[in-house]
Amino acid sequence: MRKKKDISRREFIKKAGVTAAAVGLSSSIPRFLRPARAATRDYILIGRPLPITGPVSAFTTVSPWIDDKAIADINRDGGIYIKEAGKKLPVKVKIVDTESNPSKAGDVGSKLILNDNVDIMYVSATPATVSPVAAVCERFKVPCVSTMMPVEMFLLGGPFHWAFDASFSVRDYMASFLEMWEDVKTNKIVGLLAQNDPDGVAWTEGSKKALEPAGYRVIDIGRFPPGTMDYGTIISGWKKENVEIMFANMSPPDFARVWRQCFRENFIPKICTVGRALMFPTAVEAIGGDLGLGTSSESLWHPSYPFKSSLTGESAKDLAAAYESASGKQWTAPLGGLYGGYEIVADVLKRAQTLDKETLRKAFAATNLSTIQGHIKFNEKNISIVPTGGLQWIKGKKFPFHPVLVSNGNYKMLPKEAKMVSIHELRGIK
Amino acid sequence: MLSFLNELKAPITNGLLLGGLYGIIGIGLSMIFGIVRMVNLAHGDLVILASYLSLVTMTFFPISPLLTLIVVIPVMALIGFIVQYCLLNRVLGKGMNPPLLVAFGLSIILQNLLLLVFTPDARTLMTSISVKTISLGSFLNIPLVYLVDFIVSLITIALLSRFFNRTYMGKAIRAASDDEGAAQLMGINTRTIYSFAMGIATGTAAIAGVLVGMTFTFYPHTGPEYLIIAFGVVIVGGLGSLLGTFLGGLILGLAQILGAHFLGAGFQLLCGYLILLIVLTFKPTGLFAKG
Repeated sequence: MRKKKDISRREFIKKAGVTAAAVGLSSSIPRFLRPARAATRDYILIGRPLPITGPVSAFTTVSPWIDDKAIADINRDGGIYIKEAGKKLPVKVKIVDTESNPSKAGDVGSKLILNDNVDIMYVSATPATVSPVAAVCERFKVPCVSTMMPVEMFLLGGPFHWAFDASFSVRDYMASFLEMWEDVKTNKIVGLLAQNDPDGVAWTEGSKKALEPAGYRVIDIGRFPPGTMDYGTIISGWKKENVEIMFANMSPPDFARVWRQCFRENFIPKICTVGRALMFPTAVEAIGGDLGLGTSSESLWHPSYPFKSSLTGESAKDLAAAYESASGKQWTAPLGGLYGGYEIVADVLKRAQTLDKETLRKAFAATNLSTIQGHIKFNEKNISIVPTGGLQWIKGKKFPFHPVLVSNGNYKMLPKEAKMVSIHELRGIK
Repeated sequence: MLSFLNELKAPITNGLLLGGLYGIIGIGLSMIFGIVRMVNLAHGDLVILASYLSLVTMTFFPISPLLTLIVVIPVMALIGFIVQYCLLNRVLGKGMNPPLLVAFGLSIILQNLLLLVFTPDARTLMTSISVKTISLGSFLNIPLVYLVDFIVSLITIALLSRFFNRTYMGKAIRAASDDEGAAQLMGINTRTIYSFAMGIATGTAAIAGVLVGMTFTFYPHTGPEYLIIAFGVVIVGGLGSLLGTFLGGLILGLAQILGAHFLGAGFQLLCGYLILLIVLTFKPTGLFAKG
């Protein structure tokens, strides 16, 4: 019995050794045989890690429609001229799912570089996706650009040499909020509510600094952990202090819980501005019925923005309309950010005319381009801030809720569509 | 003193009513824990699956979410039966880990299936009762949806305990859970019994799912949130005891809301878990465990 076992064990080790050797060879041989991938490949490859599934996948519901459109726009007249190939090469994109998981994002990022040999990395949507991929690109010296990633969060992983971020700055939000709050007559008492996570804590600190000098009194009853089911304590605290402005930063399900409870306890503020939770129309609808009416949020991108695609000349409005007619769904803000990044990539390739990584990096640094999400010009820290404003959700015609741009904060080129209206007025409360 | 009590009446009512909802979320997990001796890690996802099923039913028939239970409970019970019969029964008796892993796998599959079919958008089962309050004069305001949650949970528990004490199937399930070998000798096919038990447990998950969907919003990924609540309820209440699980829910709900009332909103979840820790230290079997 023992002998038999011994033999099988030895055989197992032998087999394992052969397999290991085979695996080792198969992965190293092609690399010896092929001196330069770019020469053997007749297209340009962009690596695109995206959170297709998982908690932050709401950012990528417009993908792959927007990716397909952008790639088609770039390849409209045969692609981009590359010197080494001596001709125009079409651009291809490889989308991989990060499952909204940072370690998975880093993993797929390295695989795109090592196995697929991507020429440029283009990554989008939240720190959980962008930060790990940008770090991997730094390590392997691959040019990388990101969108839909707050520049403040991006810089935490820096300093960056190879990675660039073209996105919004949370510092701009406050200016937009203060501007739109001026449109509604209130007692200037703000009930602050923020989730106890990095976003929520940063929100609290930033807003207190901005609100108190502007003459607002802030009632802060404390951070709450994500997943809290009941907010009775906070709401009764606000009632006592006569809060008229609710100012929050939290995830959509948590906000839906608070807001419904506000209605149950008959605490309806005149203004309800919430970061993070009210970016997408489906999240406003999910609060239930018309409860989302009059709530407000930051506006990351909006069809009214006076920007055009550098690839086709289409306006922001055209892009949103094209998405709506193709998908039958309402446009969402990531359309601008996800498309805008492709514009940067195409522009860089056109100027560099090569797939040499260092030349591409320099071309990124020298970007000076007007895109659908605003003008892009990276500073010495590799960031370029795109314009944001403030929006209010009102009753829509085609879809239940429609966001109107009610403030333009630090970016006066954005056209304000309307003045902010008190929730009391919208709901007919005296 | 009087004003102190006056201030407490709202948090206590809310805590108790929320606790009723917690109880119904926990009951399915507790049953399977007690009867099949298996940790069903997919319980939270089954709850959310039921919320989605109710949503689908509502798009076909414009009825109240509570009425969709007529469709959702049988469908969920059937799903539970099939899962136990075809999947979990195969790995029972092979140690602790295989059933745990199968349930975990099921949880991941359910989440991604829901994501694929329903997209990551937030959903809710909208009814007019979601934001209504019943006012008892100037004395107390009771959120109607919490009250409905509580009453439905209470009815479910009462029906279940009647079922377990009065019917042949209920007695057979209890027998199989008390002593598998002896039950088999008495001519009970314990594997089939387990499948029925799972069917009933997912039936309660269906009720929990509809209530959760009416009270809060849900996503394909919210399942684990409710699994954690269910765990808390089961640990406080004790295994296998229906009434214990319900009371466990009440204690957890009260602990959270009173904790938030006295210590601040940040302590809400912590207070619930502190109660868990205290129970685990002094009565690891749970407060109301039988036997």
